[in-house]
Amino acid sequence: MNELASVLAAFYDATQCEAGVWMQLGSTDASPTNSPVCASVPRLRNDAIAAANPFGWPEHSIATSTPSPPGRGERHDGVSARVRR
Amino acid sequence: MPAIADKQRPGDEVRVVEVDIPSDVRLIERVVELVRRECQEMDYAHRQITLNVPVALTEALSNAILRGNLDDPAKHVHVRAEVDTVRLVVEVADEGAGFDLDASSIDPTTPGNVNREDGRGLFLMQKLMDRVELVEGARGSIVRMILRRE
Repeated sequence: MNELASVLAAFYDATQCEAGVWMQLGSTDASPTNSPVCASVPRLRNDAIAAANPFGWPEHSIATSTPSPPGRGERHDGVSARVRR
Repeated sequence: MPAIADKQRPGDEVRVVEVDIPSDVRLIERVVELVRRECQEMDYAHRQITLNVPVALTEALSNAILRGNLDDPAKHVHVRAEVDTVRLVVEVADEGAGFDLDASSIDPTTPGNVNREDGRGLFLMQKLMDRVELVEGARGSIVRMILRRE
């Protein structure tokens, strides 16, 4: 298990919450906007995931049993893949 | 100082941290550590890693949990941080009714405010980060903080 995966696993063990860390090509615009990237609060659990993304998050931010393919200039480099239990 | 909105060089990568937690102040330290770690990976200055980021983010999270979500564990706080070689952009979203950033920002060092117990969090955030913004979110308010890498 690589270091980041260990960190995320430890985070989950301590909080029972899932965290995602990944690489993205290019930053999002940080200027003030009324449609921010984290405007909603999903529950990253299987039952909530099955609710077909009710909060309208970008696909990459929803945990799945296997990592989603990169989108919007993102890539999962193996180190940054989301850890799930 | 260069504009905060400096663009990255083409091909530069951004490390993104995203996490959703229930309103529980015991979780703050863990979230802060995740973001701090990514800043360290991007070679942010020691002072930024050990002071600016952890203190400002701790204050933002505690505000979101205690004031935004009123310590209601059924409500969640969402954090998204983008870290690159130029800047850190971290957003803390709660499910609260929102607040007036300007009206809530006081200088706790002035004689009239020195005994007040509130208002220090925003003051610290604004002192420690390059920019602090309030954004209206779909389910509450979002505090966005930007820090240029030194």
